[in-house]
Amino acid sequence: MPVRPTLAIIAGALVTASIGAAGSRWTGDPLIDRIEAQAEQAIAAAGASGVDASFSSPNGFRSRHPVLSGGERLDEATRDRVAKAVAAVPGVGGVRWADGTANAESGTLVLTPLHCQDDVEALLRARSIRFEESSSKIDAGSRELLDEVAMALRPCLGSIIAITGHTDASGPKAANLALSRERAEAVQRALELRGIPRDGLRAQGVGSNEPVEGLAPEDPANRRIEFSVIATVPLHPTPVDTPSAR
Amino acid sequence: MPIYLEIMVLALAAYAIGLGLGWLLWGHDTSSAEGND
Repeated sequence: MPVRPTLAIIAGALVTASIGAAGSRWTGDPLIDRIEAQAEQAIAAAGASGVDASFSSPNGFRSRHPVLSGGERLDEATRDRVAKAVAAVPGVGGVRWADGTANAESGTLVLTPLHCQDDVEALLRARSIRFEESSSKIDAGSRELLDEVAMALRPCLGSIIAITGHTDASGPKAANLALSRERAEAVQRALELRGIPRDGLRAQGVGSNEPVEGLAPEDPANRRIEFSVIATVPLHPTPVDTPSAR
Repeated sequence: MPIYLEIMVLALAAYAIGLGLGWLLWGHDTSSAEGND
């Protein structure tokens, strides 16, 4: 008697699914037992006592995705370490804490500078923003370079751009610090005039404290302006913004 | 996701791949009726 192909395919799928479900008793359960034991060891090795990894789904079925509990009193660094240690056990799926929804395996957010920082660095590698002697007045010849820097920073609008002024070590330290700050602020003002919003610019001066690697602190080549793009900066509330005690 | 569901999904995926490969290799008639005589 001929069997219709569709029926045969559906019957085959049902048989396969049944074999899979039944087979999980022989393959899945020993796997969970093994990773459960390894996870316990990993928790103990991470130095967190009282933390329990439950390898059960909410319906009571066994699962590769443990829920960690009992770590309410632990500090964030230990919780992070424990979750990562459990996630590192081969076979373990996503790990989460019973009192939090964050997936432990995602780890800490890595901030990567946007490509416009590379563009600006490339511009400033060949030329530098020059200032008049012992002054924060930008040299007329550097205006074109500033135009190019402003253009290169445009794709990074919305992120925070730090402008850091540096000087060489000649002259008094306090004066150098003040001069480097004034020069960074002058660049900030120049960029504002070129359409970069003030909110996204942070000017700071470090004087001669951070010379170029490999250069003597007195080397005039240390006089420079550096740009770094910070994707996000934590905002510290000023006393005026601080909410009152609960 | 429970482990039994993961294994079932894997088994069904393997079954589907097997069906597809089988059809491509042996069940798929590439010759047309006109060109086959």
